[in-house]
Amino acid sequence: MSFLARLYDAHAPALHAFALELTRSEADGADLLQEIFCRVAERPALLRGVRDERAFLLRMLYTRFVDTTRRRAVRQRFAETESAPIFAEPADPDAAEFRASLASALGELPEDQRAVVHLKLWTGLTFEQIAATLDIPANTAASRYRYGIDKLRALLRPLYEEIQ
Amino acid sequence: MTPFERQLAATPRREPPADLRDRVLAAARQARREKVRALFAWMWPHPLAWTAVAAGWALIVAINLAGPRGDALYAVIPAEYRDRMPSAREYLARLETERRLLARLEAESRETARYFRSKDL
Repeated sequence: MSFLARLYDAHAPALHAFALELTRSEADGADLLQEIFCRVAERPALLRGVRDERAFLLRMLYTRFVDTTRRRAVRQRFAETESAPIFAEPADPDAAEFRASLASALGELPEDQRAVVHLKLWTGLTFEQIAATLDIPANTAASRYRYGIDKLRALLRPLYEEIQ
Repeated sequence: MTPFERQLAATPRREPPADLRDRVLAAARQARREKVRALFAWMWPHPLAWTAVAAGWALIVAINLAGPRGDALYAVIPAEYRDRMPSAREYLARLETERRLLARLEAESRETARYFRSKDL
């Protein structure tokens, strides 16, 4: 198995989920993922000496996303794109409703809070790792997470209490 | 983590589509090939010049490898000169003598300058 295939199998699910979370678009998320792998293929030395490959690739992806969205036209395009499903499709209708509401609530978070909440809950990074990935202080990462969770709790409270 | 956060974390994310793997890996391999091609394209306008430079370096390396190394270098010095060559200890002794002479000269020249300044000459 080639270096790139190994890298893809090990980290693509986490990178794809993060790309989808950021772009909310199937096509743009896939493009973002592809750009990261192309960059690594062109310069494999980028990963030499890197201890945490996943955190490094997540950081690359986030930086690329920020660079791309700095161009206003693209930001507009992201905003107008119909939101792609970010959670797995469940068989249970209650779970499906909760996941749809969660996806929608996540979409209402500011982009910086959403990135922190995603990396903490679904990638399992520590605040220090999140801080390094997003290039922010660890305290800022922690406070953004707290604000994000509080907002999600407020948005999902009725549904969450019903499920409990 | 609170129960609420645990429930959120337990909500599974969607896996990447199966065909995305082939697409991404193919694009990455293509990007790598294009980078190599770009290097050749940069060199291509003067392939003869690059070949000549490479051949020149190969020749230098070959001559260097074929020549004497280490102690064998002394063998290429003619015997008459080799016998006249001082030993390392002799070299050091001569250097030390010259260093002392230089220090004495410098001290004397400072002394002379001071003398002339004092006489206002």
